[in-house]
Amino acid sequence: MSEVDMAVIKPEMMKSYIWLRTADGSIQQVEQEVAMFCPMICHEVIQKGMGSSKNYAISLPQRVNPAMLSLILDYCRFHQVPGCSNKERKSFDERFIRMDTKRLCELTSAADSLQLKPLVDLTSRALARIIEGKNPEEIREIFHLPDDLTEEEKLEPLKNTTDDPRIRLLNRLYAKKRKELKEREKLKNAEVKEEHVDDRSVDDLLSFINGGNEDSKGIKTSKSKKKNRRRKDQQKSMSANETTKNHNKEPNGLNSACSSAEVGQKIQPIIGSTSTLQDVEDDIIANKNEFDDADIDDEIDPALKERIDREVEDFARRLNSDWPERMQEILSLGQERKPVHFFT
Amino acid sequence: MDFTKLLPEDCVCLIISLTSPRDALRLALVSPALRSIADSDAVWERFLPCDYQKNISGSSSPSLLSWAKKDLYFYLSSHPILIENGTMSFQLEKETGKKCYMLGARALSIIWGETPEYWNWTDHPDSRFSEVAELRLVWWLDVKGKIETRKLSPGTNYAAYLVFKLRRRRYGFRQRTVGVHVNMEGTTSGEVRSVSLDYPQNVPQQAQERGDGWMEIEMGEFLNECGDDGTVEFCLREIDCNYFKSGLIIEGIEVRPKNVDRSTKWTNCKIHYHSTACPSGDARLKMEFVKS
Repeated sequence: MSEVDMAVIKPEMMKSYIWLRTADGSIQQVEQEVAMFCPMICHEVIQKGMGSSKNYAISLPQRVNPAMLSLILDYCRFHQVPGCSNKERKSFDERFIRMDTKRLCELTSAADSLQLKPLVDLTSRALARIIEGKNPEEIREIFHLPDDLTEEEKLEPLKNTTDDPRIRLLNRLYAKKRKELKEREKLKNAEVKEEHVDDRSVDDLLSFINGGNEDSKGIKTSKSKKKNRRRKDQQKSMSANETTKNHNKEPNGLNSACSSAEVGQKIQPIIGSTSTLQDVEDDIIANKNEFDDADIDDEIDPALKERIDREVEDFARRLNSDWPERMQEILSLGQERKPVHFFT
Repeated sequence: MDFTKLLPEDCVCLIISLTSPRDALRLALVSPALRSIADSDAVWERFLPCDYQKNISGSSSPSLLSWAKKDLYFYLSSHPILIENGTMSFQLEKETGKKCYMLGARALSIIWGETPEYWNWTDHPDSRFSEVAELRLVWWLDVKGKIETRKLSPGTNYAAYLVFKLRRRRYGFRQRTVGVHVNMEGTTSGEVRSVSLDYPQNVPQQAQERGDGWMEIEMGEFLNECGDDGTVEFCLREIDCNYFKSGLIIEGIEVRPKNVDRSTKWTNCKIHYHSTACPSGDARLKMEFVKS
C-alpha cells in the first residue's frame, strides 16, 4: 500500500505517526522514530505493514498497559536521539528507573513483550540490585510473596556433597524437628497409642535385628564399632556384643529401628524432591550411613543419644531464629579451607 | 498480590542471574515457585564461567558435563579438577564463580629441574597432582610459571601464590628471603618482593597455611581486564651462589581472585553506548552493560 510505503521509506518526512492499540482498546498515535525503536513495533510495521492508520493500529501485547506504554515511549523518545552523550544517557537511565518495585516488574514485563532488550536489561539490573543481599523474609516482603513453604518443606535436608560436618549436624537437627512435627500431628489426630512395651526375649530381639539388617542398608547398633562403616563387621559385632545390651534398650529406640527396617532404604538425591516425610527420613538415614559414624546409634544408646542431643540443641541455639535460611546459605557457601568461626 | 507473577519466567531468570550465587540460594528459600527458577540450569549456567565446558571436557572428569548446573557449580568450587594432561588444576571461586587455576610443578619451568642431583620428581600424598618437585640441592633457584590471561575471568584482580612445603631438613631458607614477582610477559612491570618462606607462621606478608597440607605465599597481583593482555608470568628466584638451598617441595603456583568483595560488583558497572545503523535507515542504539 502506498500509504505504508510512505510511512516507512521516507524518514525525512517531518511528522509521520504510527498507530498503536493497547489491550484495553485505547488507541494512540506515536511519532514514528520513537515507536520504531521497539523491535516488535518495527517488525509489525515493516513485515506486516501495520500501524499506518487508526484502522490498522498495531495491537500491542497484553502486558503493555497504557501507563507502561507511556513510560516505554518516554524511554524510547530519549534514547533514539542520536546526539546524546553516554553520560547523559546514563543519568537519564538512573532517574528513569526510580519507581516502586511493582512498576519495575510491570515495566520489565512490558519491555520484554516489546522485545526492547536494553530496557529489559536496565530494569532487570535494578530489580537485581533490590534483591541483592536480602534474606528470604525481606524478599517476601518486597515482592508481596506469600510464605507458602510448608513446615516440612522448610525442614528438607540439605545435600551434603562435601561431607561438611555442619551440614550433617543441620540435617540431624532437621530430622529431629521433623520427628517432633510428626509427633505433634499424631497428637493432634487424637489417637493416643499405648507405648509398645517390648518384652520379647533376647533371642527374638536378636533374630529380629539380624533379619532387619538384611533389608536395611546399615542399621548400626554397634557402639564399639562406631568408626567402622562396613555392614559385615557390624553384623558380626552385633551378634557378639549386643545381645545383652539390646534387651535393655528403650522401647523407643527399637521402634525407630523397626520403622527404618520396614520401610526399606534407598539412597536418592534429595534436592527438589517432593518425597513424603517417611521417604525423606529414610534418605536422611541413608545419607547418614554414608557419611556418618554413630547415627541410629543415637536412637538406641541413651547415653550417646543424650550427648548428641545436647550437641544438636546447642547447635540449634546458636542458629537463633535465622535457620533454615541462613544455614543453607552459610553452609553452602561457607569456607572450606580453614575451620572458621561459624557465624560471619 | 505477588509481584513476581507479573514477570515472565525468563525475566526472573535474568534477574536472578544478575545477582550472585549466594542470593540465588536465598531466593530458593522464598517460595516453591521461586525455588524452581532459582535452582534451574538457566540461572546457574550463568554463574559458571562462559567457557566452563571447554575446561571440563578436556579434564580428568568430563562426565561432570551431564550434571545439573547448580551441583556442578558447587562441585567445582570445592573440588579442583585436573586439566592439561594433569599438569594444571581448575576450580571456581565460590562467591563469584571466577576461575582459579593451579599450575602444577610439571607446568612450571624450573632451572636445573631435569637434573636428578638437583631436583627430584616424586609423588606426594597431599598433592593433587601426580608429581611434585623436591629440591635436593641448588645454588641457582629459579622457578617460573605463566598463564594466558584469556584463560582467566575478565574484570578480576588476581593474585599468584606459591604453594609449597619445607622439609624438616632444609637449608638456605631460614631467616633468608627469596625474590618473587609477577609481570606481564615482555614487560618488567611487576615489583620484585623479598619474602621469607621459612618464618614463624601467620605473620602478615609471610607464608600461610592453606589448610590442605601446604603452605602458600603471595607472589604478586595483577588485574585482568578483558583477557587480552597476553601472558602473565610468575617468578621465584634466589640466585645468590654463596649459599645453597635445599629441602623445598613445590606443589605449584595458584592463581586466584584476590580480595573478593561483592559490594564492588555494582559500583563498577559500566554502560557502553554504541550507535549502529539498522537496515531500515533508523539510528539504532545498542546498549551494553559491562560488569567489571
